[in-house]
Amino acid sequence: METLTELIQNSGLANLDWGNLVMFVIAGVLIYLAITKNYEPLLLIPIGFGTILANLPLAEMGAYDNGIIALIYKSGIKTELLPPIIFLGVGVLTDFRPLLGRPITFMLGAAAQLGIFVAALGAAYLLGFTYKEAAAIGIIGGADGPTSIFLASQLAPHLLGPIAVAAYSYMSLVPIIQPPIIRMFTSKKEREIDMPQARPVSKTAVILFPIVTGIIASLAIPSAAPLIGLLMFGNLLRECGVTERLRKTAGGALIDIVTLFLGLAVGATMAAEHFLTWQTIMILVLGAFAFAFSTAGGLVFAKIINLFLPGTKKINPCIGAAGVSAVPMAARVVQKFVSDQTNGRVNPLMPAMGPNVAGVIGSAVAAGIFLSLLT
Amino acid sequence: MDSSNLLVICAIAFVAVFVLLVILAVIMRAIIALFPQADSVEDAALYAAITAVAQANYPGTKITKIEEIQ
Repeated sequence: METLTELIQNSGLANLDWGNLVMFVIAGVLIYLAITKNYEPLLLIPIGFGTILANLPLAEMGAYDNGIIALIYKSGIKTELLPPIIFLGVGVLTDFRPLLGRPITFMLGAAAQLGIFVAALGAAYLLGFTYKEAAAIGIIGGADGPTSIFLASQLAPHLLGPIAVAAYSYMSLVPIIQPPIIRMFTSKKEREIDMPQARPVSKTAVILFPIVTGIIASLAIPSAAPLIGLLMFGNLLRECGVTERLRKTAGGALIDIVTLFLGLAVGATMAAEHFLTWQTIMILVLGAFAFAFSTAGGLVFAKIINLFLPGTKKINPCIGAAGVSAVPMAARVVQKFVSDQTNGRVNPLMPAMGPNVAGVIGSAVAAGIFLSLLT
Repeated sequence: MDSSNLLVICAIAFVAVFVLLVILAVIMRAIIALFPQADSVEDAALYAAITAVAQANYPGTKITKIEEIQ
């Protein structure tokens, strides 16, 4: 009888508290959204299940425990290994031609990082977060999951779970968040600006781009090199045309394997005692502000650029909203919005892809600068 | 730099992101000018298809130029 009592007392069931149950519900919501709404399923499912594992009492399956997930967390996230490998795959999967064909859209990708800095300032001065925490929260505005994880794991590892969940949740909510902001900042006339096709780009230029960008960005901001360097290496594998096997692996099996481990380990940081805090709610609110300001930043800067462009060269300011780096969703949102507003006459998908991929570079650079200045 | 005002850090960071991406834009513009896309070779299949249709409708016609208007 004593043995049976001891067995019961040592079971997870006997040690379950309300916090674990709340986290099971949150995990269920993430998994539900991934399956039924198709919101970032490749990440929300591993994150959701990682959350369940982390909240099983006595199972030692949390990122901060001593089990297998902790091993993945310590060796994959704390060491900065996994996010750059995701960037390698992103580089393979990204076509930078729309950006190269219209280099002016580099600037829209920069302007759309505004939300990062607005959210960081709000977090520090309005809500009392430390500078490092504020910067890690602000990067949510970059709309880039791996970058958010990369920076949070360095500056505020205790906030990694909420920051990652906010980043990926808002990325999946781009189709809901962005259209009202685009509508607010653009006129009917501006939405009807039809942009000509970008100039064609030679294979030589496409191959030189990752090499030149990798060198220049890494020389300027060395702490951004893990992200930018591997992003550009992946893009070179894509464009050089002689590394088909490496391209397929980096853009397929490798990114999938890393996504599994990354999602699971991030989810496992969401043990109840770390996640169920006021800080998490504040991070979610700040994340929404970050996204809104980033979208607005891109839109407003596109309008400013138009002040200096002749009539035939004007850009459709809506593509500025795609400067947040949720690739390719932000560009698709802009395309759908403009097309709907103009009854299908104007379709700026390819022009919007320019700032969209520039935003990936912009958010990685912003993360690197924060690392340089705050560590 | 840890003790610096976050406002200053954010301002520097935002300007730095801008400057770096502008530099990249200028360099890439120069590279594109240096290595322009050669005029694309006419798509043989497209040429054959258009020729076939034109011949069917207007026998004896010769296609001398195909131009795409965006």
